[in-house]
Amino acid sequence: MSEYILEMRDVVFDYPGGIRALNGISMAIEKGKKIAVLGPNGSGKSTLFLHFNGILRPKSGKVFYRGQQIKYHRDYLVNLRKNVGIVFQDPDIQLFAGSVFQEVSFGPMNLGFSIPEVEKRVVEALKACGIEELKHRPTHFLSFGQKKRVSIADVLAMDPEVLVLDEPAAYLDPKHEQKLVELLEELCRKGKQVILSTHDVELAYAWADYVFVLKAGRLAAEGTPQEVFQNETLVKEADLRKPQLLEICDILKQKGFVFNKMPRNIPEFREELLIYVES
Amino acid sequence: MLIDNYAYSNRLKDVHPAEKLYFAMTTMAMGFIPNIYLNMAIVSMMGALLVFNAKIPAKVFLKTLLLPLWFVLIGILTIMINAVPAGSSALIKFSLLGITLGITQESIKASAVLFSRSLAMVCCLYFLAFTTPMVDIFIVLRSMKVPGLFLELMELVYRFLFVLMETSERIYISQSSRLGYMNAGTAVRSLGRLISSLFIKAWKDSESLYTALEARGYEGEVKVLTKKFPISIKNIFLITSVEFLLLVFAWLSGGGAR
Repeated sequence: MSEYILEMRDVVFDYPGGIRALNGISMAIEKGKKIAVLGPNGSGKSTLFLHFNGILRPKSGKVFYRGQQIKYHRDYLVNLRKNVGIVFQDPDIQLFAGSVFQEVSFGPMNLGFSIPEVEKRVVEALKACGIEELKHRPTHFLSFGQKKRVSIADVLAMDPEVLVLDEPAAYLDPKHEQKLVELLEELCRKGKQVILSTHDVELAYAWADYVFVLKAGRLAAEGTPQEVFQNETLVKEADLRKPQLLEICDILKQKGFVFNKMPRNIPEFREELLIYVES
Repeated sequence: MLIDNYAYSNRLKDVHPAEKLYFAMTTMAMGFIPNIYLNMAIVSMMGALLVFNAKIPAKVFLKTLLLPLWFVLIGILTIMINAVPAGSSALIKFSLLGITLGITQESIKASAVLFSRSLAMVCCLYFLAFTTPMVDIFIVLRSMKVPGLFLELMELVYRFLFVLMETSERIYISQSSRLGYMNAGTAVRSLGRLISSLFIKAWKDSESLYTALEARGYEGEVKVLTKKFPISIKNIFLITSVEFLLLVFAWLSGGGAR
């Protein structure tokens, strides 16, 4: 049986004023898999994420971390938040300190590390995000892409086991998005559990091992990207779009093309084409 | 905000902020000695330090110096012109609504002292503002045991001032691109909406900020690691001797306006 790192059972959550954000969600996140959560705006993605580290407490239902039910008392939450780090969508809200160095040191300082250890972690986190040269810059002089990377370094400096990113690719230019994907790949290789939410079906298809689709506070579907995106009715119902690469592959398949393995990105696609042409 | 830019890029930014604070504050204290020559010496010294050592363009420095000049001029005008008794020896006298107003030798002297003193003080503050980022001043204040709550508030206010400015600018641009400031009527309405939406947004953002802080283990105290600066004994010695020289200069030039 596979091991689950985070699990939710029948979670219901209402915002003040009775707005139902989560309407009975059950999901289990398998350890070591790259997870993407898809869904239209207002489908409850951000609310869901805030349940992962105990910021929000479900009205009913249970949340489990490493098979253990989350308890909402201080000691447990401190430990949970150390292990599950959230990168928020808007870096202008997450970044509060005057300089980048101060900003990134906030998390590890809260964890009570010694000063040299905090320093080491800050430098490592900045290096991992490729922004060492911004160390002593004031936060308000950074560009959006830089702020985004600082907000990721913020959480990396705490060295969490699970990294949750809310719309990490939003507003990023293609180059920075590419760099972000590379950074996420690197983190996964190092054994971090990465969970992200996105609207970008191409990104989800190319990157994720497993996707969850949310709609109106419910889980509309889950499965591997191939399974989910090939289900035409589901794609339509969840307001998604079929990834273009998958669309092309399907057309080729209809024309009698045989794939050894469904390609998930352009290099894989090119390889498949070459194999086909040669045979 | 221009000054803030220079604070992060000037050539004295890596000098220990406590040294700069010490220099600015002691020089300021010197400025209270009622001596026009001393005050002018302070103005030129601070100006020279900013332009030659910190490499702030002279034009920028002079321009920012013009800003408080209007306040100062209006202020000293009210001191220079006083009600004078009918038979006194004023330089200029005139009547207004039955009261004799005039300028006397003493009032000129008093306003000259006030003028040069305010200029000297402003220069001391400008020295600090142009060379020391706010973030560094907070470090010194923290080591001076200023209450944490007060400092945290200052730090958050400083950071979010920029976010607030950026947001209001974005709202303003989006309003004016939809002709929100076409004439006085629409301008008033647009400005009202800008302010109210800014307030609501600030409220919501503060809640989100709290969530974001909480996610990183915030427990009521903002703990961050700050940059370290080398302390230079040479600088402290230099500053102390400069202050001593200023004192000697004040004594030799003999009070000026007394």
